Amino acid sequence: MTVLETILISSFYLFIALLISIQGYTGLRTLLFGIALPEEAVQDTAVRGIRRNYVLLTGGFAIVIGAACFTVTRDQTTVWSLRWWGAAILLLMIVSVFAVRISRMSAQRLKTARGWQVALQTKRAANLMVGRTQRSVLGYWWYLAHVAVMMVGIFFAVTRWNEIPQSFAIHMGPNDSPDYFINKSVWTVFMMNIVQALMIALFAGYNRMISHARTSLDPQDREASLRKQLKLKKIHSITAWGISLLGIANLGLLQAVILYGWKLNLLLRFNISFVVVFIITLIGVLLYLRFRGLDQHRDVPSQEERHWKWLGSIYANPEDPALFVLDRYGFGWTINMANPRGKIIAAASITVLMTAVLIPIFSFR
Amino acid sequence: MFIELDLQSETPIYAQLVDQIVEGIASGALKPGDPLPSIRNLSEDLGINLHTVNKAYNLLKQEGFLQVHRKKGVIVQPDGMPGVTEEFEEKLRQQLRSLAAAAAVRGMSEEAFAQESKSVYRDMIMNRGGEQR
Repeated sequence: MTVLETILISSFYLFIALLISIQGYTGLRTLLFGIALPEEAVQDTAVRGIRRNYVLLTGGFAIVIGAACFTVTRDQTTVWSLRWWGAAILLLMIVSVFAVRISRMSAQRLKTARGWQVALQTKRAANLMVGRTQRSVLGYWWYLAHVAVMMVGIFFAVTRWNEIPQSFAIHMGPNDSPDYFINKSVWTVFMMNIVQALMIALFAGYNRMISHARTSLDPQDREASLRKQLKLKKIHSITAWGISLLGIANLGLLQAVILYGWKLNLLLRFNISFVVVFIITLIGVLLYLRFRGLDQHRDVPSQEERHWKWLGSIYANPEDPALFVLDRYGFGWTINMANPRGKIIAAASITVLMTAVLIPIFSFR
Repeated sequence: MFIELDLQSETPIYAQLVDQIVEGIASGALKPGDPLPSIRNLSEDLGINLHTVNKAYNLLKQEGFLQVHRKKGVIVQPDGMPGVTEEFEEKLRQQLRSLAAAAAVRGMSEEAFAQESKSVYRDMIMNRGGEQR
């Protein structure tokens, strides 16, 4: 594996480790690993301790696992390294699940011990002005840009079909010489375009989900919470659009490098820039949402803890007609799994995502 | 315009919805021809059962305050609100009876009672553009 690939993969691992570790600090401050606390408990030293212990536990494991993986994969091939790092990420997620479980139990014990009560909100508010919540996300026309990029790739592949060699390299070894080859066929030439199409479907679907997610207002401050909700949706929509466009362009570039022998350097520089932009954008958006208080919104109808299963990560409320509700982490939305349509959408999304990821992996063996 | 429900109130939820929409029309916040959210959207936003919103909308449609438009969905009646019918006068008298009786028992004068009624009526149509006949 080349130095550049090592850097790419390990920084991706670090990014995942970071996201997993800061879970205790994102989203509603009055929520401690899914356990609802009253306002006055937020600054409590014991509460802060639980959050800190979680970071130390998962962060510590992340560093240990990461260092071990790094030393093991130093001299391995790319395929094996990817497997090792993939296993490391999986292991880290398992550790995090245990850490969340432990933190949740501590939080529950603390809440009972201190006798903290959280009153359930029994008021509901909604906006009757239809015009205000229309166009809360980017229009679908914006995704024509993605389609255009994909079409360019397809057009080039079709018109230059005869110039594509019968067998082309899909990976460069450490000596800058190609080490994996696959044969030319309709499937292998257009594979990247298929993945692009799947990604467009996924992100356009995400955009649609945001527009259909409920706008739950805070009865205490209806106007402000409405404006914040609309802003949150807009930010998510624009970010998803931008990131997915860069990703699709990245895939197009990858296709060009593989098929027409474009400069590998160009691809790598784009890859690194893309990863950097992706990470910075995600962290930037998270911080911006926190500073503007846009992630502190309480989705009033879904407050009851009994509806949040599996350590408070899955929402299933048969009495709630909504399909998409604000996630408790304050970042994004989640599907109401008690709704049959919700189950279908969840299954479909996972299928599309898995297909998009597995196609390249299983073809390029 | 915002709708606010109290789930713990003695008034049923559909009645709260009906009352607030009518108040909205009276005050001019909802103008004739304005579209209302679909039953599905409103029930999702409020987190209440679809049938409750459906019941409220149906009642308002029956009374003539709302109309179903081909393209816009449910809209506020654009062709003129229903007038004062005998039915409505009877309903008004019915609902005033208990209030008037309680006021009289508590020693409120007829003028004071009328004054209160007037000021409440004025509050309802305060934002200009209210439905007045």
